[in-house]
Amino acid sequence: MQLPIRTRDRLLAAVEEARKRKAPPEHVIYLCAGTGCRASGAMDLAGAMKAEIEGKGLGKRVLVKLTGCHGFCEKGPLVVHHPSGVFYQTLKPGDVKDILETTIDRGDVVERLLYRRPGTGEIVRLEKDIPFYANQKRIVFDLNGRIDPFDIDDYLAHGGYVALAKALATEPGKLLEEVKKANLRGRGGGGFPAGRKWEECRSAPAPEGIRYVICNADEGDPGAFMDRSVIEGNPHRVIEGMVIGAWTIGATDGYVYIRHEYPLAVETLAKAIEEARRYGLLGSDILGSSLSFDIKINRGGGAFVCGESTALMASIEGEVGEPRAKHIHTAVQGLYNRPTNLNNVETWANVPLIVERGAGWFTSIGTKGSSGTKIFSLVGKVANTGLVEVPMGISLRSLIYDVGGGILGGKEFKAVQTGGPSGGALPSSLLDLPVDFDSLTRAGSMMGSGGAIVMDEATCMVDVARYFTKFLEDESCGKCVTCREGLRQMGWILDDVCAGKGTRGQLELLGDLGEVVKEASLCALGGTAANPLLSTIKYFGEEYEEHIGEKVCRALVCKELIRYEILEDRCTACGICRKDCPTQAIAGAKKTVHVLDQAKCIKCGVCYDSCKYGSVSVASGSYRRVSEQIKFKLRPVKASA
Amino acid sequence: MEAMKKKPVLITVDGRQIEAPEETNLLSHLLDAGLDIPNLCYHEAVRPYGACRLCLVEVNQKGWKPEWRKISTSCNFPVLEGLTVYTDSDKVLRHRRLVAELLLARCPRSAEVREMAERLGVERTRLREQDEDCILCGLCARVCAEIVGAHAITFNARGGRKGLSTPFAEPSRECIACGACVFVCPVSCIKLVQDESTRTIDRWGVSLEMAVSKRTGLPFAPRKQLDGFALRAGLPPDFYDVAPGEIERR
Amino acid sequence: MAEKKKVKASKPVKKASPAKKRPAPVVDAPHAPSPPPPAPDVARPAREHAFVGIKGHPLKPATEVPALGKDERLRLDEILDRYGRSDANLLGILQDIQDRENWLPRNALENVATRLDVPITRIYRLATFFRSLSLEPRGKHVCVVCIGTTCHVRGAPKLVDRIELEMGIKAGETTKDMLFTLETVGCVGACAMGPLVVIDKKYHGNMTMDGLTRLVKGIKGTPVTAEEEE
Repeated sequence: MQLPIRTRDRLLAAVEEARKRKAPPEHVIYLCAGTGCRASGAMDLAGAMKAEIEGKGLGKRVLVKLTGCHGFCEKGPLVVHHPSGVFYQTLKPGDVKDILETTIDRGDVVERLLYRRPGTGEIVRLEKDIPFYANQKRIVFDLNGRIDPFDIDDYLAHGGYVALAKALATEPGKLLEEVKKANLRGRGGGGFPAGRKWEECRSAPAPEGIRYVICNADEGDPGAFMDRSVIEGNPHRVIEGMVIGAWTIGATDGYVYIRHEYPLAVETLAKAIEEARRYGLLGSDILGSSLSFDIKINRGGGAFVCGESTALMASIEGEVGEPRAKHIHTAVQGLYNRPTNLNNVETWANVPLIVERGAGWFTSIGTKGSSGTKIFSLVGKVANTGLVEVPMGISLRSLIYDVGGGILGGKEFKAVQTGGPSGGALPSSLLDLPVDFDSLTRAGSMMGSGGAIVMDEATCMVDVARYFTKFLEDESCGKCVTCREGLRQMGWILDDVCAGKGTRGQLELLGDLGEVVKEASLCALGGTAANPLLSTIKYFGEEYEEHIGEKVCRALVCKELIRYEILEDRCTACGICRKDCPTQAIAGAKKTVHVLDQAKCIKCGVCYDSCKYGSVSVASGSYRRVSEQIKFKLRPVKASA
Repeated sequence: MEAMKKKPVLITVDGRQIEAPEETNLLSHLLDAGLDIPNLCYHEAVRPYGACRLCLVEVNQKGWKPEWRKISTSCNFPVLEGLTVYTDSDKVLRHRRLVAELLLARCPRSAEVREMAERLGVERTRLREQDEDCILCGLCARVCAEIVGAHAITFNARGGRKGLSTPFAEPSRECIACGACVFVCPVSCIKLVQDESTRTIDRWGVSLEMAVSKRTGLPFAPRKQLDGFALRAGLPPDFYDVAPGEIERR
Repeated sequence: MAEKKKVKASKPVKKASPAKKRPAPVVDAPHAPSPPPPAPDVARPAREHAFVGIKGHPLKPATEVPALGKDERLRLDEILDRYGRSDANLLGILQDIQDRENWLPRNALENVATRLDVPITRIYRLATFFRSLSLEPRGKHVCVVCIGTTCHVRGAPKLVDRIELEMGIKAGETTKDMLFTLETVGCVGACAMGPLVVIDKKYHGNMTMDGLTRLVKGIKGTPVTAEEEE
C-alpha cells in the first residue's frame, strides 16, 4: 500500500488489501481492553494469555486481539472467541490454561466461565444469545469488540473510510440534505438537529475562510462513559465523521476536546490521528479532493462546565471555562469568533454510517422524532451494567429489564435517573415511557448524554437531589448570582432536610429558588440545575415529607436520621466491628455481646459492612435493614445451648 | 466610535417606541430612556459581563409568536429590529426580587445591596446569611485588565468557592494603586487610604510611596505608577517632576 | 497517624503607612449574621486560595520565588517548545508541567508568564479554576476516589471517609510526610465498576471497604492482619 493514499480509488484498493491482510487466523481471541476491564485486570489477563500461547507454540494459529470496550463492563475481564462466538466472563490469569486447552485444542467450552441468566442460572454460550447483547442494536458500536483501535488497517479492513471516499465524491450541498433528511439529533444532550446546525455554520459568513468543527468529548455527566468507549474502541470512525463534516460545512480545522480524566482515550485518539495523517486522510488535499483539514486534541482540566459549548471554546482559546450568553449562535460566531460547528462524539460517529447507508436506512431505526440508535450507560442497581446501544423508542422497562436483566439482587426498582445532573429521576409508574428525546423531556427529565442510573430502595431520593445540587454548585463557573448563590442556598436547605431539620417553608423556598435558577441563569448548567430537585419533589414527594415531618429516611442513608445497632441475640462476639470502628464506639469482648455506644457513633456504617454474621441493623423510624449473614462458623453468644 | 457605525432601529419598550443602534447592548438604551433597571455589574467603560442578573427583562423577538417571551439580562442582549421588551412584568419583578434576596444573603452588611433590594421591595431575605462584602461582579478585575492594563487582580476558583484576589493571594506586585477598582466597585468594598506620603489599598496588600510635585509639594500619584507609565511611553526622566496639568500655587 | 499538612500561618502585612485603623463599616448590620454552614456530606477538595481578598480572609505574606534550576529550566523548555509560544495552549502547557513535576511550581508559572507574555493573573486564574491542576505540591502517591453518581450510590462517600480517617487528611490535602495525596473527582468514566479508586493512575474497580483498607495499608507500609486478609 503506497502512503499517503492520494485518490479515492486507491483508498478502495487499500481497503481490499487490508481486508486480505487482516484475514483472521484459525482462532482469534477478542480481549476487551477498555478502561472498565483494565480496572478489573484485563492487562494482566492479556499478558498471561499471550505468554501461554507463545509457550504452547500456538502463535501462528491463535491471535489475541486487544479491542476497545465491549460494553459489558460488569462481567470483565471478558473475551469472545472466533469462530465459535463463545463469550467468557470475569476471567483471571489462572483461567487461561483452561481456555486454551478446552476451547482452542478441543473445540469445547469451559462451562464455569460462561454467562448465566440471573434468576434461572441457565448458561448462555454465545455472545449473540446473551440478552444483554441480543436486545441491542449495535451500529455505532458494531466494531467495538472486533478491531484493534490502535491499528488503522484493522478499521480499513472492516470498510473504514469508504464513507469518506463516497462523501468526497458528493457535492457538499447534497451531503447536507442527506444529514438533514436523516434527522440526526445531537447525542450530547441537547438533541438539536445536527443538519440544521451544519447548515447554519455552512452559510455563516467567514471572511477569512476559516470555519471550525469541534468534537465535544468532555462527557462530564457522572455515570456516562459512552463517548469514552467510542473513542477508545473505534477512534477512526469519529475522525471519519469529522472529516465528512468538514467537507460538508467547509471547515478547515478540527478540535477534539477530551476531558482530562480519560487518559486512555487521549492516547488512542492521538495515535489514530497520527495514523490518519500518515495515510493521507487528514492534511491537505485529502484523497485528491480540495479538502484540507486537520484535527488537534485539547485536554480538559477537570471542569464539568467545559462541556457547555461556549465554555469549551473558551477553554480551547486558553481561557477559563466561563460560558457566555448565546444570543448569537456559536455556529455563526464561536471559537475565536469564527463559525464553529460543535457536535458530540456519538453524533460524529453516526455520520459515516448515514453517508454510507443512506438517510432512509437511518430513519428506519428509532422513532419519527428521534431516528437511529442511542448508546446508554446503564449502570447502578441493575443486574447487567454496562454500555448498551438500543434503537430510539425502546421503553424504559425493556431497557432495564430485557437488556439490563432487572434489578440487582432481586430488589425493588425505585427510580431511573437519566440525563445526568441536568436530568431528572423517573419512577416506576413511568417505566413504559419510550426512550426518545421528547418523551423524556416532557416527563421532566431529559435524555442527556445517555446516562441511565438505576436506583433501588436503598437509594434516598432526597440525598440524590442533594448530591446533584452540591455537584453542580461545585462545578458551576460561578459567574452568575442565580446559579452560584442559588445552588449554594439550595444545597444548604437540602442539608437541613437530610439532617432532619427541614421545614415545609423551606420546601416552598426550594421551589422558588429552583425557578429563578432555571429561568434567570446564564447558561444551560444553571438552566437545568434544578431538574434533579424538581423531579424528585414531583415524583418522590413522600420521601421529602418523611424527612421533614417524621425525620425518617426510608432508604436508610441520611446519617442524622439513621441508627445502627448490634442485635444482641445474633452477635457472635467475633470482634471485627469493634476493631474496625473508627471511633472505638463498640464495647465488647470474647463471648460477650458487643454494644454500640450511640454517643460515639458517627454513622459511618463500617460495622454494618464488616459484620459477616448478620448481627448489625440500621433503622430509621419503622424502616430497618439487617446486615447479610455470609459466615456461619461462629454461633450467637446468646444462643440457647 | 463603534455605536455610530450601527444602523438605528426601532424597538418597543413597555409599549413605547425607542430608537437605538442595532446590535448595541439593550441596557444602556433602557437606562438612557430613563427606566430604572437595577444593575450592579454593568459599567459602560467595560464589556458587559452578565453576572449580577438584576437587569433581567422579558423579550420577544421579531418573527416570534406574540405570547412567546424569553427572560434575559439586558446588559448583553443586542438591540434587534422589531424587538419588544417588557421591563416590569410580574415574572421579571419576581425574579429580580429573588436575585436581590440572594445578594442580600451573601452581603447582608452592604449598604448598596440593601438599598438596591429595598428599591425592589425586598426588606429581608429568607435565605441563609453569610458575611461577604464582595458580590463577585468582577468590575474591578475587568477594569484593571481591560482599561488600566495592570492585570493585578483576578477571579480565582469557581462555583460556590469563587473569589477575587491577587495572584497566589499575596500582596500584589503589579498593582499601581490607580484607584480605578475602588472607583468602579458597586458595593464599595475596596478601600483606598491616602496620606501625605503613602497610598494604601489594603485589599490587595499594596502600600505605595507617593510622588510629590516639585513645584507644589503635594503628592499626586504613586511613584511606581508613574515609573510604569514613563517606561511604557518612553518619557524623559523629569517628565513627572510635576503633576501633568498642574496649576501653580501662588 | 500522619498529621494534617499545616498551612503557614499568615502574618499581617507590614505597612509603611501609619493608617492602621480599618474604616468602620458604613451602617450597622440589622441582625447578626448566622453561623457558617455545616460541612457538606460530600467530600470536597480544600483549596486555601479561593476566599482570599474577601473580607475576613487575610492575604498571605509575600513569597520569595526561587529561580528555576538548570534541570527545571530544561524540562520547561521542552514543554514550551512542544506547544509553541501561543497563549491559547496555556492549559495544555500547565497540564504537561503538572504531569512532569506532580504539581505546578510557582517559579515555573512565573517563567511561563514571562516567556508567553501573559499576566500571571491569567495563569493563576486557570490554575485555580481547573480542578486537575494543583498549586500545592502533591504526595508521592496520588489517590483519586470517584464520587460520580453511580459511585455515590454504591458507597463512595464511605470510602472517602475511610481513607480520610486512615491517612489523617481531608480530600484535597497531602500528608505531612508527602507520601499521600487524596483527591476526589466527579467521574472517571468506568461507572459499571463503581466505586472506583485510582491510585498512581492504576484503576481499582468494585472497591470494597476491605479492599480499600488493604490498599491504603499497603501504601503506608502497615502490615495487613490475618482477619483482614480473609
